[in-house]
Amino acid sequence: MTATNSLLAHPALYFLGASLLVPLVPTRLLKWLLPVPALLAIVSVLTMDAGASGFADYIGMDLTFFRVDALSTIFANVFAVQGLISLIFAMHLKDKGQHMASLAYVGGGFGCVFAGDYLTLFIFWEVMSVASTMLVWSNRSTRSVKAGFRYFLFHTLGGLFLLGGILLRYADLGTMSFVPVDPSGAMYYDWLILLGFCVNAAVVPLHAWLPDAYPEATVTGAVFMSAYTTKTAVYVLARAFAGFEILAVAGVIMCLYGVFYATMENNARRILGYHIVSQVGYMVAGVGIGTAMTLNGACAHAYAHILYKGLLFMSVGCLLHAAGTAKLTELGGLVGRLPWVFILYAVAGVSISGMPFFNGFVSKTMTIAGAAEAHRTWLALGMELAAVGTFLSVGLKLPYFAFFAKKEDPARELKPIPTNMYVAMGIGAALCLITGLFPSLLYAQLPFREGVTAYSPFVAHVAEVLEHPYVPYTAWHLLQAFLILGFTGLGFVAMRKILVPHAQRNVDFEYLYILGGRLFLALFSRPFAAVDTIWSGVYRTLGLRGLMGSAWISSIFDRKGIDTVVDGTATSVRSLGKGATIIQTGKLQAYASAAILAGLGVYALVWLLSS
Amino acid sequence: METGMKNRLGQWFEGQRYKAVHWFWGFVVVLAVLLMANMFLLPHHPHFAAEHWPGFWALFGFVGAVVLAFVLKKIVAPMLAMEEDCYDRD
Repeated sequence: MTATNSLLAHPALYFLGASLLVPLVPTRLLKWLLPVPALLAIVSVLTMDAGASGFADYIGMDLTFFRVDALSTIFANVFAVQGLISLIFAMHLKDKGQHMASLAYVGGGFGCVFAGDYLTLFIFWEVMSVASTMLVWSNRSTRSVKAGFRYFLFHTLGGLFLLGGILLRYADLGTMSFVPVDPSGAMYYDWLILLGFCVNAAVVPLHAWLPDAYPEATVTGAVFMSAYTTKTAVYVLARAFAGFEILAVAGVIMCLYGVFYATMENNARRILGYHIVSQVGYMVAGVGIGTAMTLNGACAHAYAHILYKGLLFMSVGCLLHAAGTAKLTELGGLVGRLPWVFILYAVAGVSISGMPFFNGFVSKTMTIAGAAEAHRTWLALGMELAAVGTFLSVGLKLPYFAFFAKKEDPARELKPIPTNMYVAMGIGAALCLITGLFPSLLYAQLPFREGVTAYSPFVAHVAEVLEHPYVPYTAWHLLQAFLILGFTGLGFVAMRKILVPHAQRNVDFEYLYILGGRLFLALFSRPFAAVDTIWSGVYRTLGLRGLMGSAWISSIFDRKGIDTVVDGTATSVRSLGKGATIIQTGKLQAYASAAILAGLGVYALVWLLSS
Repeated sequence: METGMKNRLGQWFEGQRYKAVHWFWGFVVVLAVLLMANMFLLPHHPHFAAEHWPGFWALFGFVGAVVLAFVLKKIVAPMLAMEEDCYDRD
């Protein structure tokens, strides 16, 4: 089905264009122009019609830049709304580099959501990976450089799985089209692609990059990152891998694993990071169970999650901005001094916990009820237990130990919080409440609903969902939610002395990544060093003989021949070392952006020459 | 942005510290009401047998929270503990 959407209506264009324009705009004006691409994107998403457009032929491959259907629209809608909120939250920043990175990052997200083929998807996927790495590095501390480096390496690995899968699939099928995969007939390349997607969805045990890097990003960078990387991954999983049983189990493991670590964690932003793993777990499980109801639940939960998680990262970001730390052991009694930050945090905290009247309730319960109706009782119970842990750790523990547990030291200096940050949080909180009170606003965008053709033939029970849409506000659902949350609260009161945070880091899979990296380095650098020693020895002998013979030709031969061939190895090894030094000093960002630009340049050149 | 209204709100929150006992007993009353309601209101289509016992989800929430807190903080956390800045050193 083709549509009339012009490529000029593509939201990625606004964000990527804005990113390139940032250096040219005077700083004073930039502040007010910053939300413009998001406003344009909102208008575009609300007015676009279903169907595909933006076709191109690239060396014999059919590319589709702009596929619009119910599934891509619901993600694009919340991407645009959260884009506006995050940009308002970042208005006070004078760091142009950071604005460029966040705009390019959001643009990459839109590019992925509307991509109709794997090549387009891969390119925007990598734009997101590089731009988000910049958001970690923009924090400009040794810690963020290291965390960003680990983050980038791991995403590169995930990107390579994806690329490998895409190319093998193209070799086998001769098509790049990005369409649903039959769960009973998946080929090895489908599994590679799935693995690449799972890295970005933070599926345990591929998740550790997330709680490792997000707490080291800038205050505003973390707000952007909380929304786009993992939810883009949820979108592509829903698009291609609905009904894959392994995702159903992996999702529930994520739900519980994230909650377990969050309960032990001290750094407030790392607690929130682990809760992304946990909440994305509901979505991955919904995709894996693969009924129309659980997929609707996954999409609704992605929408709600982006709003409340953004608000959580904004309000905890305010604590970090004002007090200079996000560690619970160093915070304590801030409610008297930052009461509005507390209230806004509380709105997000009850939303993520699934409190009735807030948006988490209308989306989380849909996923869980969908799992139960698909007779996956154990998966549903696992998700309920994760809901208990969510309220315990992020709804109660975090705010209690940040705002109430101790008497605040009145001598603590608090940096004033800019008004735009409060405005952004206010919009986020209002939307959490509005979508919670009027779930029909959210349900009207779900991918399986009356009048919309199902995007995948592998999703079960579509007719049932159209016949009996989920109703969140029934007496029993309300009572059940209040019982679970209320008695979790009682459990917290009983255990609050045990839950006191400790200043420690809890070892997670990132430790294995680091070990793996060291092993890789050792395996490769030792043989390299050995080869270099031998070559240098050979060169010394040959070079000496050349000098002693003092023949003109052999001198030429030595300079031009041996120097380039033999010493070239040494030079290249040396430059490899220099490259490593550059990486270590944090200049990898220059290298990474250059690589992306060069890649895009080559891509454009091939297209021009071949068409 | 230390406006008057904000300070008053902050002071109100600070004042609630001294009324924690009142808040606690108010909370207990709410929980009791919820449990009473659960005697009469049960799901029409329980997904498993236990859901039909009054108080099942209350027990699930309370025991879940207590067990999670105890096992994770007292048993698991000491096993996983590293120094907070362990990755900052070279």
